[in-house]
Amino acid sequence: MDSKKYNKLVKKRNPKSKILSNLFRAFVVGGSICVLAQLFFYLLKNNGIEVKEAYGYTTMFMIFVGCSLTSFGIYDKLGEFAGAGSIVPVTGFANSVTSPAIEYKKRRHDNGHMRKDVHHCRTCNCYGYSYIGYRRTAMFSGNRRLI
Amino acid sequence: MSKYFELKKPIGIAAYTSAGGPLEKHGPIGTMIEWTFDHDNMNEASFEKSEEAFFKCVVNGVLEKAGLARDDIDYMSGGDLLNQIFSSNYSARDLAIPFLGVYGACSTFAESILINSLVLSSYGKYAISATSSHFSSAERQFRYPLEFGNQRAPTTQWTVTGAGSVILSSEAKDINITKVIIGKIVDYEIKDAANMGAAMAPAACDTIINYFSESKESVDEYDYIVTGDLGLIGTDMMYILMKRKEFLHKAKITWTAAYPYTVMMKNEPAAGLDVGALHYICAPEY
Repeated sequence: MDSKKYNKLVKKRNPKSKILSNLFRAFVVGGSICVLAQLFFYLLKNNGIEVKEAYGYTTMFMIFVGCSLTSFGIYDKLGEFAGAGSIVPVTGFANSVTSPAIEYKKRRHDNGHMRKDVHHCRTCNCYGYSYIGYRRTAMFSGNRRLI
Repeated sequence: MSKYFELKKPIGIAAYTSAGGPLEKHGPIGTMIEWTFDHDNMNEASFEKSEEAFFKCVVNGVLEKAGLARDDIDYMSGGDLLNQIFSSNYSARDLAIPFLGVYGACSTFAESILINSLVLSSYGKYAISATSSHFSSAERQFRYPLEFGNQRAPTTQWTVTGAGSVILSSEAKDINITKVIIGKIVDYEIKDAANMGAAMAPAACDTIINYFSESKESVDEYDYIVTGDLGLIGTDMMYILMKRKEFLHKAKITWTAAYPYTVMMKNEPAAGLDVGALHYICAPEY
């Protein structure tokens, strides 16, 4: 048997992902994240902040939410449940930056700031000053596993 | 063809023990694992350190079981999954036993037993083979950070949190090692990093078939053929490959890897894997 045949066979025999249920979960969770962002946007807008500024604040807020949830160990469970639903929104990018940072901290090299973050970062545009904020959140959450 | 070695004298297994974390404790073979712990961090600062604690636990445990002191041991070989196999290295430093580091990823335990039995058939009296693995440290070493919110592929395997060790003796005991074979690397170019079982299956199949064709033994003489960390998918692939080569003894071949989890992790179809799994060959009554 050559490798091509074997690869085909493996593909045929392997369990498949449950596409329908995954799609549904991604839709629900991803949608809820977007609704949250939209609500925050309206809140800002109704309180007299300009639309252009409100967009920026909303993104920052969502990054903060993503990072905080990661720091408290909630986002990875959400990600396991929702898949793309929690990876595609900006909170997912925040998660992919925060998680290596937490990891690095666990190795006790230093306090983890911006060292290994790019390692798993698929986009760097979510890098922001709020970063320092959520790192602090992780440190003060009191959970030994996370810090 | 792979080489097969008949040892000059049977190498006895003087004592063996294994340790496991919380998931293993509540798994199907949980009661057979001698040392189980409720927390996988073992009250250590990092997962790497807790892996070290697992390693020391099984080495000290096996010494106690065999009634030997550290000075009686000629040397220890073993490894783990981490960079520079440092959990085992640090354990060896603290245990102060001469140490031979072995890295074979999933095959570490078998490899270390093989090396030890080859050495002991000519030199020395007692040698320890020990390995450890830890889900959280391996996950960070090979896959994603723990907090990274991704979905695991259905074929992804789960690293065992635990350790295992045996003391090999140059005198024959109840259980002996008489023959060893070193397998070839057989690569069928599986490119899916989440499917290690299927990647390893051809090599396992090749080694088993080679052994029987070289040693001219019949499979009926054996009660069990145990493979390491193929998991459910890898074992399935191995059966298929063996069937194609007209060598099928499905009932006899068992695999240690899937056992720690099969029942409890229904959402992880590929079930257990990695170095760790083979430690549980050291679980009594396995």
